[in-house]
Amino acid sequence: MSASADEIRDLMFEYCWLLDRGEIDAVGELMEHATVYGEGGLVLHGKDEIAGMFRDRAIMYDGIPRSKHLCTNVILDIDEDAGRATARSVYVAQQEAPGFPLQAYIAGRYRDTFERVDGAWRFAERVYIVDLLGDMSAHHRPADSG
Amino acid sequence: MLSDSDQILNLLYELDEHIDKGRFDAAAEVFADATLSVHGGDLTVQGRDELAAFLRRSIRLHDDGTPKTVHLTVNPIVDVDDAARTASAQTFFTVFHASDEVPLQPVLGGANFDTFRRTERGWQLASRVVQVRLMGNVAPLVPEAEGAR
Repeated sequence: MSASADEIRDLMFEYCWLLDRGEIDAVGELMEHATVYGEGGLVLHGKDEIAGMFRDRAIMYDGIPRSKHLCTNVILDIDEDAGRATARSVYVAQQEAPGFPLQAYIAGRYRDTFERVDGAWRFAERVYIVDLLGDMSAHHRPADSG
Repeated sequence: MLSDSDQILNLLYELDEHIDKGRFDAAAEVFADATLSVHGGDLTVQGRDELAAFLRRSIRLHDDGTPKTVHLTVNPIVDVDDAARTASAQTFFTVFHASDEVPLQPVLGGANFDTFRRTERGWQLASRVVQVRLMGNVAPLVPEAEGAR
């Protein structure tokens, strides 16, 4: 059986669905127990900090970021006994917005850790890795500092 | 325990990851004793040493020691034959690239048709046929001598 594998992939793909629909609070809830690590030493913990980061940085068009995150190549390592799992994946995010033709604006990797608590898998950690940077101008307000 | 399909997909994604990171020897270890051929072409690569050499002469490494690529492998169809301890998989791939030369864009797309055999050490790639279908600006991917006009 690979029920855990499917549950874990569902969490990863749910993240993309929620983010692309602009459901920032729901992204925060999905990662409520997680610590996320980003470029420049960024460390965020819990739903308020994580949702707050997207709210501060993502440019919205009528409430949505007009992005589509493709997340694939999920390499799973699941320790059923310990209730811990890791997943390495790749993502490409594409966007189309007023004055901004359809294009990929960023590509990289997620390094995720999951934990099973009370029978359900949840995000414990996500490390954002940027490999390839495109034109972020329609997506992203730069951070003031690390 | 991961399903056979997930073990096989892990292997394919690790191969992509090694190439994106410029780890050609590690990619060759995943490739093991497999045979690589290109659909409709004459090229055949057999085994890890030939694969490592093939990657080295075919892919340009940029200043950071990587090809500056992200390989996406999607739409997997995996077929496992338990009795025969063999499997096959077909997938689409898209290679994204960005560097000083070109902005972020897809540069290559195609399909991989793979077969596997189950050994004491788990699933191993037995053969790969690559079918290139969509050709973009691959000049930044190939070694400079070959990419130069």
